[in-house]
Amino acid sequence: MQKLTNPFEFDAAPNLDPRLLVEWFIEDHNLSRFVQSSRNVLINGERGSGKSMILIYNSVRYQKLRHEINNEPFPPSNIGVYIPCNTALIHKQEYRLLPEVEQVILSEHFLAYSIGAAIAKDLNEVSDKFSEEDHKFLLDEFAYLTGENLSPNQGTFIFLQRAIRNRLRNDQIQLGKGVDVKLDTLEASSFFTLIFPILSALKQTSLLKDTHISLLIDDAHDLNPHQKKILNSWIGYRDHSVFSFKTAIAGTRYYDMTTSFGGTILEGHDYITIDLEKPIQNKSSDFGKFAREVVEKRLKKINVNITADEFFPENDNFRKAIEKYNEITRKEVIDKGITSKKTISDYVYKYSRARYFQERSSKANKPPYSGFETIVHLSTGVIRNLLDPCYWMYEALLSEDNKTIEVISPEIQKKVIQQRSAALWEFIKNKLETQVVGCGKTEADQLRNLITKVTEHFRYRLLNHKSEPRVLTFSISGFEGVQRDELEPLLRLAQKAQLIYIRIGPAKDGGGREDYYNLNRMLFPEYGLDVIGQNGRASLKAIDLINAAKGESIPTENEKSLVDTIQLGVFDE
Amino acid sequence: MSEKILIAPAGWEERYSDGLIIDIDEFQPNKILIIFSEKYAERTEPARKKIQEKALSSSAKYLEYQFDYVDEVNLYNSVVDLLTQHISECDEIRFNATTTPRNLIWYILHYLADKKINTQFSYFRPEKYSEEYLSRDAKEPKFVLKCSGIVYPDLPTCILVVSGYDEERLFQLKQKYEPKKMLIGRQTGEQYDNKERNYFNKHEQIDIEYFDFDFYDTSNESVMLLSEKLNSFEDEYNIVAASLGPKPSALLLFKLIQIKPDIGLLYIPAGDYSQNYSIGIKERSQKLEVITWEH
Repeated sequence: MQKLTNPFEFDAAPNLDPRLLVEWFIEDHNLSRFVQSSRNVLINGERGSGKSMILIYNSVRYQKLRHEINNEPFPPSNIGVYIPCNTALIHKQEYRLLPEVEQVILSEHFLAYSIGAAIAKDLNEVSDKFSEEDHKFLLDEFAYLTGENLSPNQGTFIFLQRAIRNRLRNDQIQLGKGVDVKLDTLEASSFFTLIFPILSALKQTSLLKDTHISLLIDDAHDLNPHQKKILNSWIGYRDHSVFSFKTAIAGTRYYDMTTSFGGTILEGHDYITIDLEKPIQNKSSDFGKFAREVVEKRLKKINVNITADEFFPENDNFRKAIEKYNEITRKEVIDKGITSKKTISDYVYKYSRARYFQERSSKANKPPYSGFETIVHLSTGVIRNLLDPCYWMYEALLSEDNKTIEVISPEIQKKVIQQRSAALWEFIKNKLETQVVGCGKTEADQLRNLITKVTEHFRYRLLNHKSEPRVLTFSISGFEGVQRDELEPLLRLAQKAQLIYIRIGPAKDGGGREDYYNLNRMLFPEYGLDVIGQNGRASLKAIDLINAAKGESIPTENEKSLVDTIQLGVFDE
Repeated sequence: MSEKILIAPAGWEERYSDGLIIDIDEFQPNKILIIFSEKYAERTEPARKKIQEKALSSSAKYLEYQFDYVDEVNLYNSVVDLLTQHISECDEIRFNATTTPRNLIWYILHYLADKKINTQFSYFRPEKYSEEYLSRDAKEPKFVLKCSGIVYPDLPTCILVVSGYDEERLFQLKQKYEPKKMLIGRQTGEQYDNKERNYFNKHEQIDIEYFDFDFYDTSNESVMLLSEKLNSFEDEYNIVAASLGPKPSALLLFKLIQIKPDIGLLYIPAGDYSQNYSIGIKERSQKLEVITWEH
């Protein structure tokens, strides 16, 4: 493992140094309250939103580390067992060669053993906290449950781990033998024959008798279809006196919530949802505050005790230009006879930044993207997207000069932001077909067109729209029937490729809630667009988006007279 | 009575039909089993016709079967049913895998290994590969049915990639399985530019090791050499292997899992193969290999 020098390291949580993870983690007390409760919780968030980090931070090995580093109590009232689902065992496909009923049996068997192995691995890390009597009791229980013979001087949880491995080994040898798959020799286990008894035994120890156990299921979307239903059935189990599930999923929107018995688990009733897919409207939004805390905590760890805004300063000329347009627009609205402070402030909010972009020469260089707020908006509300440019900015300075870095100049910020934006467009231009699973040539062409046309549309709005030029988010009207059938798969691909993020918010008309769509804002610098949008969304017609996927521009009012101001698109250069 | 059976899943490249004609002349089969994909039925038709005519003139029985290559379970079961129907343990088998998708190569080899039927493995290189794309629209990587190894849920994943340096496929494997370690084998003698070394971002804590290897050499000695590369860490990881290079590397990996059955095989299906995948045929690039399974 290479020596870490960059405070904006952002690898997948399981790969991070445990001490760094404990030091860097920002505890959101609202969220922690749910994770540490005895309720079932679904954590919804796209790749890079921090789901795994939350689960790992609340697992028993990290709870012990937190006890050692931060003097937190151990055992806490709720201990966690981290259960990753992106494992080779879960990805095995042999179950598909079996009749339906046996598919379910084998799927549950592997899932139960995955949980058993995770319990053994995590609790082995805190083995020294159990009393001698606890060990003796647990060893007897585990030997009985697994049918394995005890060998002398074997650690309790190592024994459980080996017993599970032995069983899995024998099962997989049987499954691989011959040309058929037979379950004759497999003594199938389930949650209630293996895991529940293990958890009950743990609850009888002096260490954990007053402790709730959270089963922290990460990447549940990687489970096979039977395992998803089985897990849902377990989540539907109402008695939470011993255990509960905290399950992380990338996108609950398309996740199957049905159970093995044909029922459905219901939010509020069977589980509560923590949604990490949060909107980012301004620096005082939850995500804005969270982003600032993440960065400042990491800076502190390298002894840079300044604010995120000081570390990532905004370009002076840009700041002055925006201040100038603030004044101009303020004067404009006052000159119209407006006196209400709120109306004046709304007017300035809507138009001043837009005016800066509108009045730039179409031949001018790209705007000097810089400043922490810009970086937050570029992240589109995804923590990994926030750390990515920060990491590369820091790296750029590390390679130039190995001295302590106390500030990232606006020039470096601009350079890296432009590079990351260009790289994202390069991905759209050349790599969709090869890097996005399920994206063939046709879909890649459509997606490329759609993203380009929507970006061009927002550029057009910024330069020309009379009332809401800074809107960067859209909802879709007429999104039903054949139009939904045609457009939805493309939007799912865009979401998978992390080019579009979907959020849920109040509907514009008629009440209720609706989906709204954010382009990944890292797309915008390449087009010279403002990455900081206004609160609000444009309503685009489904048919126009379908046509955009075919390469047609999204209709706009007065297009003819204003078309000259539109710069060349990325693919026209 | 034992028969001489030539198995040759159909392709459309010149080296497929020309190579198969060489096989028919050399091997003199009684029976030729052609499997072809539903999706590419039209594209493989001229080659199949050519082989059928050759079979007729050689007095070999020509049998062809259309399978659904997209549904893995269907394909696996169809292969097992077909081979069970036509092959007995005393038959002599030659398997021309020149243009066979890797999953199909492994299903056929798995059957033959299970029945301990010694097999001649035939492969022809092309004169040159297409300069446009070879394949695209990669689907989600998958574990190969019946060749998925022995793995444990509490071990991290190591992906062994043989051979060549296909950036996109590596990216897919990395994204899907989030390995802790990648062992990337590169074909000896081939040139790689420096960008490959920069492909993995520095911020990713993946332990990446490169090694040079001749993946055209599928001899038992070569398999042992490859196997030795895994000895020092096989207890710490679930090792899964993917073949991204020439088809003989699929045989090499299959032989590897015979001596190290804990290793699983991965396959990345492609939705679209180039019509002009390759041009011409070279003479058989390595000696025709007879695979002998341990009894």
